[in-house]
Order: sequence, then structure tokens, then C-alpha cells
Amino acid sequence: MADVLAAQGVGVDYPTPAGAVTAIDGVTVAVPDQGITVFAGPSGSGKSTLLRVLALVERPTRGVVELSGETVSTRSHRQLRALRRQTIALMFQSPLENLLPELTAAQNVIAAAQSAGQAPDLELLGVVGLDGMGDYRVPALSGGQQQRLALCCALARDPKVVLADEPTSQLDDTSAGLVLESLKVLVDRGVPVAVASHDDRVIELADRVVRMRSGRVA
Amino acid sequence: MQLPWRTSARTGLSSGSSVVVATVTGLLLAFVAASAVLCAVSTGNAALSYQVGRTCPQSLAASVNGLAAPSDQVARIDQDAREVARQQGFPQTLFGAYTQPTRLVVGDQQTPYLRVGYRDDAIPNLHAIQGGATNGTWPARTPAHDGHLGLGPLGSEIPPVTAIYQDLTEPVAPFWCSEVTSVVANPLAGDGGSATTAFLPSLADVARLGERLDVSVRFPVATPNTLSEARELAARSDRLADALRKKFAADGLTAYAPVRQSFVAPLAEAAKAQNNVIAFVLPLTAISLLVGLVGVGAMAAQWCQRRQAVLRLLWARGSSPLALGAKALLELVGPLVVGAVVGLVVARFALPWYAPVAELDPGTTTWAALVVLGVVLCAAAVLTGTAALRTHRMFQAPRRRRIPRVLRLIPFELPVAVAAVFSGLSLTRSVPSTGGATPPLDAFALAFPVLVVVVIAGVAARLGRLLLVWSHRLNVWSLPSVQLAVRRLAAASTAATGVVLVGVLAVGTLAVGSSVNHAEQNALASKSGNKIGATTSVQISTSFGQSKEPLPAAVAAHGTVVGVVDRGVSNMVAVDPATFANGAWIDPDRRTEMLDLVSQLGHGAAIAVGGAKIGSSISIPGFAPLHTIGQLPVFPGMPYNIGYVTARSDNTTASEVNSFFLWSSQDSTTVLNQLAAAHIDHIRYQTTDMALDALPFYTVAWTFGYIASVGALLAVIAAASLLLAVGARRKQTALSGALATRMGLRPKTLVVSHLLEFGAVAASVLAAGVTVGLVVAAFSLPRLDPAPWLRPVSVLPDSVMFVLVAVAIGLAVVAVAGWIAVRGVRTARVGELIRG
Repeated sequence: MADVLAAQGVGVDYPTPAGAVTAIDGVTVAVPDQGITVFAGPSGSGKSTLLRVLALVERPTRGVVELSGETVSTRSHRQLRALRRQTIALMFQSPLENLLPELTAAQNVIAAAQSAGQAPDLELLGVVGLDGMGDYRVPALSGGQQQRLALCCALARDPKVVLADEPTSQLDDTSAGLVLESLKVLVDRGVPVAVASHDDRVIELADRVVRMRSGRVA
Repeated sequence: MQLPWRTSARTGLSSGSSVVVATVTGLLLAFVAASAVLCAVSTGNAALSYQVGRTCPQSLAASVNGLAAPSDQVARIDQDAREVARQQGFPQTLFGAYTQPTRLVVGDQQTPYLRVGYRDDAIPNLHAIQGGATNGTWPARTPAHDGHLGLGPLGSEIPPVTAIYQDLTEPVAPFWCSEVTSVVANPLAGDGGSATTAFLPSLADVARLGERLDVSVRFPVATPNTLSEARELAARSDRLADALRKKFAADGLTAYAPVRQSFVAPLAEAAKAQNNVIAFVLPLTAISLLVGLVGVGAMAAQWCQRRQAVLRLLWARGSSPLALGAKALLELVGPLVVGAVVGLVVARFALPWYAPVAELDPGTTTWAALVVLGVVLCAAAVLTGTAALRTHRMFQAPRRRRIPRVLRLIPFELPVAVAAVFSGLSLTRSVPSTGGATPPLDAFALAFPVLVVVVIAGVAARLGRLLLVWSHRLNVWSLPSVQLAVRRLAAASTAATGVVLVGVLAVGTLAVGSSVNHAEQNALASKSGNKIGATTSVQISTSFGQSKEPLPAAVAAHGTVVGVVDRGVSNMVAVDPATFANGAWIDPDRRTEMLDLVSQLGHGAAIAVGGAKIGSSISIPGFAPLHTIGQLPVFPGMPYNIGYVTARSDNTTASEVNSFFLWSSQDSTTVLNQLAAAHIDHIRYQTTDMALDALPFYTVAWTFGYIASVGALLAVIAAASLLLAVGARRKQTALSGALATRMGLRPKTLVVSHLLEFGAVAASVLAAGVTVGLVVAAFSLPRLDPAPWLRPVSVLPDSVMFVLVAVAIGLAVVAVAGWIAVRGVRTARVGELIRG
């Protein structure tokens, strides 16, 4: 099992008027190219920051990020955008942050596919249990449906890895369960998934758990 | 194109406030750009129209005025002129030749002095009152009557009289305007000094007389309506003049046929007036457009803030900041372009409100549209660039150090204040205090009032921001409406100070623009009226003036006779107190005072004018001692604005007053016809329209009229910004108001707090804007006076109405803003608001 993503001695500092605040420090982790890897820990442990660094949307202050064995964190903005376009699908915490609210469900899937240069496949809506809802506008969907649509969009991009930040934090039990089912579908399709979460249900689903505390791997 | 970009236009329309802001931004940018172009063209053509109105139409092209040409050369001059004119594209030539005033011998008697002459097309332009055959001599009525001439033979040298025409009197018809000295007699000029013309059927008839002849050649052209038409005419006229000179030189006629171009200077003045307006309007327009483009940038930044989630998603999926900037453009460009089109249309149709009414050159509106297109393209670039840069900074750029504190302390008002100082120094350069050439208008000096307004607007906004920052120390919960108002203002300090900045700029600019515009027009009317004495002033015969005969009823109803003594120092105007108000021009601001003093004249009483000495026994050579009963700074018709006003009844000897004028409030044509009908000899009429070169006054008035229109536009922006800001916060306001009232705050207190909040902003804007606008206008006006040697000097007009209207509009805006703010509170469902 190879690693699709790896962080080597990664640290992130945020400048504040009171001085630099270290969000994570000396983190060395890997995301295998199969299964679900969960970064678990309480709020403020740095798991979301680590996820953003692995997703190449934030540069580490220290250390490097490797994608399929190649160091990528030092590349130019243009190169990083190209990598995100072709290989990575990132899901933000709030369902609405992962969707384009002015489009329908089907249009969101098409837009996601187009962004990665993929041909749109609307049958993916059925894979996540949203068949027949392609014409629904995003605000008309429930929180769980929106999150599953977000997963569908991630799938439509045919990424090498999907990174999800607290995908169930804003959902009730039933909706969360449906989202977890959709995550399993991703894994069954051979897409490795990395999740930052403190939800025990997500941790139970994981093939590998990396616990974090105070910005370091515990 | 990916789906999110393809649907951007529809997405942009889904946000009402964005559509409104983008549309208004496009409208304002387009209006400013288009109005500058249209105003510049309109001003130039209005200046041309003024100059053309003061010029005889037949003198627009080159002309020939020769004196004492030998009669055997006159035909040659005529022939050469026609030949050259045809070659140069001037199809019509009007040739005239006149003898000097002479007396013809008819039988054993001599006729009164008259000229004998010929002019092309003269006969159709004369009104025959006797006879009418065109193959004979046509003398005017007065010499025919005085010389007992009738139809029939007139001596062996010239053809018999076949018609007698009605005297030509001023103002003459346009056909005769270039021949006034030859066709209108001055009855007061003495024998042989002036005479009408007896017209002969052909030039050969005149030449046969063997006399030396005064030659007049005119080349009538279509009146130019635009500066470009006038310049084209001037170029053709130059070529005509050169060709005429060459031809006359070749034929040895130069001495008898000098070529003139009398419209060159007036055309240059009109062009200069346009250049002056452009020199001022252009920088103002550029600054306004820059401010507008900064507004576009702010709009883009606000869009990025509002769409941050979508932008982050698209960026995370691999879109570049430039692509995201393009998305901003696609969402907002539709309303921006619609606004620009509306702005262009409004600028075109509202042209009479901010520019002089004049014809526009063909293609002007197209040029304005192209300028607007350029501005829209710039706005699109700024929009895209700002959104791209903002996105880059939000998601890609490393966290920046804040702008060094010291740089943030340097106010933008400082360089503007420096510019204002230099502009003020330029404005206060000394100008001639005596009559002479109008000092050239300095565009940089003209900018002084506006620069001061910009500085004060910046200072007011800065002061307001400081006060709001300090306001957290304020603790007046005993007056909850005040405390709430202050806290809300402090929370929205950026928006509040932005509205104050634009509002003070608007009100100040409007005050300056409208004050100077009205003041210049008033000054022109006052100076002209005081210089001439009345709407129309006609010099009448001394015998009539001294005879104290009453004027005919038709004339007296609107006229009065005055005597004027012009000695340079001890000047005098002798008036008839009973009829003075019928015809004299009276400054409306001094009407009561002046008429009161005039009514007391008589029995040696006098009004001292200007710097004339006052006292109980003023001695003026040739006059009985006077005692002054009052003093006035100006008096109509007073030479050099210094002297005494007395009653005509006090002047009893012929040597005292030797010039008499009829002052009438009617137009010159009516007055001159009435005088002719009453057989009152008169010469040299003047009107207030002709008194001064009005172009410098108009130039300043037009410039500041445009400034006033920009101010009005800014006022609309300020009011709209305030209302939009209130509307944007409606939900928060409704929530806080609903919660507060449920916790016990009285509704009346809440309403009052909102009114106080908006009232404070409006009051600051009005107080600062009106004060700075009127003060700087009052300071600048005497220094912007194009004719400072003529009294009265330009002063600030009555501004009470302006202030009242400004306050009324301010109150209305406050009321509407308050209504928007509290509207949601009454129907608010707190649960829904909290859930958001």
C-alpha cells in the first residue's frame, strides 16, 4: 500500500498581533492510497489545519508535503492549482461551502466534473442516494442531502484522494449515517479518503486513525 | 466555459443590492464621462453663438472696405472680387460703392447732404414709400422730404428718381449691418458728417459721377453653428483673403481695397472660452472618474466578501485568481453596462441643465459614447483586477504586514491642501483695477473652491471617525435614544464616515457651483445695467433734453430722460425723480434705498456716489452748490462710478449738462421706433446686451454650473449610499430593535434613536458642506470677477433658499432612512431573525 499523501515534519504558524501562534508542529503522517484515514482529536488540536496543508490549500511554515512520493508543497501557486484540479477533492465543514448555491444538484455535479476536466456523470447522484433530485436547487436540499451531494461532486472529479473536514459535524444522526454510507461508497470505488473529525462514528469507520493533540501527533 | 462562469450573469441578477450598486456605479461613471464631453462641445458652440450674435453676419468671412477708390478702378475691384470669390467657393458677392456725403444740384437748389451709391440687391431690401420702379434713383425719405425731392428728374448726372424709400434706422436689418455708416444718418453729426444713400440702378451709374468712392465688398456665408464649422469657415476665409490680396496686388488695387477678417478675434475668443472650460472640467472629470473607479474596486472587494465561500470552493478546485476575477466581471458587468447606457442617455437629455444650450457638432454623442465605452472598459479591468487581487490575497498570498502606522497617519487631504494653497495664490494674483482687457482665466485658479471643499470633506470625515472611535467613552444611558444612536454610528463608522465624506463633497460642491454660477450671471446683469443705465440707453438731442418736454406717452411709460456730465472726476447724472423708476436699471438689492434717495432730489440735493465727497456745500464747476442727502456705492450710468446725482429740474442753464439719454426698460427696436415716430432725434443706442464682453462671465458661469451638476450627482450618491447601507443592515436593525423593544425599550425611543443616528450624519454633512461651500465661494467671487473695475463687484448671492432646500432634502432623506430602519422592527419575528 503506497502513500498518496504524506506530511514530513510539517508545522504551521499564524502571525497575530501578540506574536506567532503555532497551529501544528513537527507533524509527520501519511495517507495510504486505500481506505479511510481519520485525523482525530478535540477542537483546536490542529487536525483541520493539517487537512488543509495536505489538500495543498495552505503552505506549511515548516516541513514538506509529498504527493505520490513527490514533494509538492514548495511548488508555485499555478502548479499547486493544477495538482488540486487533477488529483485532490477537498470538502469543507459546512455543506453549503462545498456547493454552488445558485445551481441545481445536477449542475453542481457537472460543474465539479468540468473543474477537473472530467466528463460529467449524473448517475453518480444515484450512487449517493440522490437519484431523482437532479433538478433540486441546493437550498431545497436538507443538510444531509447537501453533504452527500458534496461527496458526489468530489466523486465526479475522479480524484486521487478525497479530504473531508468534519463532514458530519453539522448533521443529525440519520443524515450523518447516510453521509458515512456515501464515504464507504467512495472507498469501495477505490478512492482513498482522509477525514478530520472528532465524531466517534467516523472514527469507527476508519481503517487508520491518527490522533492529534495540541498541534502534534499524539 | 465552465458552468459556474456560464451562469454568472444570471447569478449576478439574483442579488438585488449588487444589481443596484453596479447599475448606479455604471450610471455615474458614464454620466461624468459623457457630460464632460457634451459640456465641452456645448460650451464652445455657445461661446461661438454669442460671438456670432455680436457680429454682422456679412462680416463672418473676409471683407473689403476701401476708402476713396478712383471711380475708374471700382469696376475692376468688383470684377476681381467676384472672380476670386467664385474660385474660392464663395458663390455670392455683395459689392457696394458710395460717394462721400455731398449735395446735388437740382435746378437752382441744392439737396441736403446725401451719398450716392450702389449696392448689389439693395433695391429688394428697401421699402419704397413712393414709386417703385427699379431703373432710377432711390433716395431716402428724410433727404427727399427736406430737399423737396419727388419722383422725377434729379439733374443731368444721375437717373431720375423713381422711388423714395423709408429711412433705414438702427437697428438695421442684417443685410445692411455692414453698411450702417453709409445708410443710416446721424442727425446730430452736423452738416456733411453723416448721410443716407441715394441708390442708383447700376455701378456704372455711380462710377460715371467721377467721384472717389468708398468700396464695400462682402461675401455672405451661412452662419456657423458649431466651432468646427466656424474653424472651417475661417480656413476658407483665410484662403479667400490671401487670394484677394494677391489679385488686388497684381492689378495695383491694394491701396483701394484692403482686405480684412473681422471674425478672427471673436472666433479665437470663443475657442479660448472652450479651452478654459475644458482645462478646468477635464481634471475635475478625471478626478471624478478616478473616484468612481475606486468605487468600482470597492464594489469588487465587497463582492469578494459576499461570495467568499463560492470563491474558496472554486479556488480549491483549481481556478486561478484571474478566472475568479473574470467571474466577478461576468456577474456584475451586465448591470454596469445597463447603468452606463442609462448614464449616457441621461447626460445627453439633461444637457440643458448643466451646460449652455447650443447646437452640438455632428458625432458629438457618438464621441461621448466612445468615451463612455472606454470608461466602462477601464471599470471592467478594475473590477476584474481587484477581484483577482483580492482572491489572491485571501487564499494564496502569505499574510502581509500591515501598512506601516506612519503611512496611515499621512492624510490624503495634505497634498490636496497644498494644491489648494497654490491654487489660491494663483487666484489672488492682482488684476487690473481700471478698465482694460479682461484678465485671462487661469484654470488652476478656478479649481481653488473645489480643492478647498475636497480638503474640508476629508477633514470632516476624519474628524467624524475620530469622534466615533472616542465615543465608546460616552455614557448617557439616561438618554437611551442618544446612546443607542451613538453606538450604532460607532459600529458602522466606516459607512458613516464614507457618507459624510461624499456628502460634504456633494453639498460643498453644489454650494460653490450654484453660488458662483448665479453670482456671475448677476454680476454681468448688474455691471451691464450700471454701465449703461437701463436696458436700452439712446442718446437724444440736447435740445430735447434741455427743453424739458415730456416724452410721448408710449415712451414715457417705460422710460426716463437723464442728463450726464462726464468730466472724469466731477461727474454728474441728472435724473427726473418722478419717472426714474420707469426706465432706469435698478439693482434689486438696493431698489428701496435708491428710490428713496432719488425721491428726495431737488432744490440742490444730491446723492454722492462711489468715493465722491459728502457735505452740505459741495462745489462743482458750472453748477450751483449741492448738499448731499445720502451716499450710494453705485449708481446706474454714473461715469467711472464716482460723482453726484441731482434732479434735472436743478439744472437750468444750457452749459451745465450737454448729453441727454433716454433710458428705457424696453428693447432697442421698440424704443428706436418710438423715438422715430415721435420725431425725436437720437443717435448711438446701447443695450445691456452690448455693454460688456459677456464671454468671460459666461465661461466662469458655465464652468461652475457644471461643477454644481457634479455636486448634485454626488448628493444623489451620498443619499443613495446612506439608504442602501441602511437597507443592507435591515435584518440586523430589525433584530436588535425587536429584541430591545421586547426588553422594555419604548418604540418611540427606538424611532428617535434612529432619527438621531441619521440626523447626526445629515447635520454634519449639511453644516460642513454648506459652510465651506458658501465661505469659499464668497472668498473666491471677487477674485473670479472678469471685470473688477466695474461696480458692483461679484458677491455671494442670497443663499437662504439654497440652505432651506438643502435642509428640507436632508430631512426627507433622514425620514426615509429612519422609516427603512424601523420598518422591519414592527413585523419582526425574533425567532426567524435569530435563526438567520
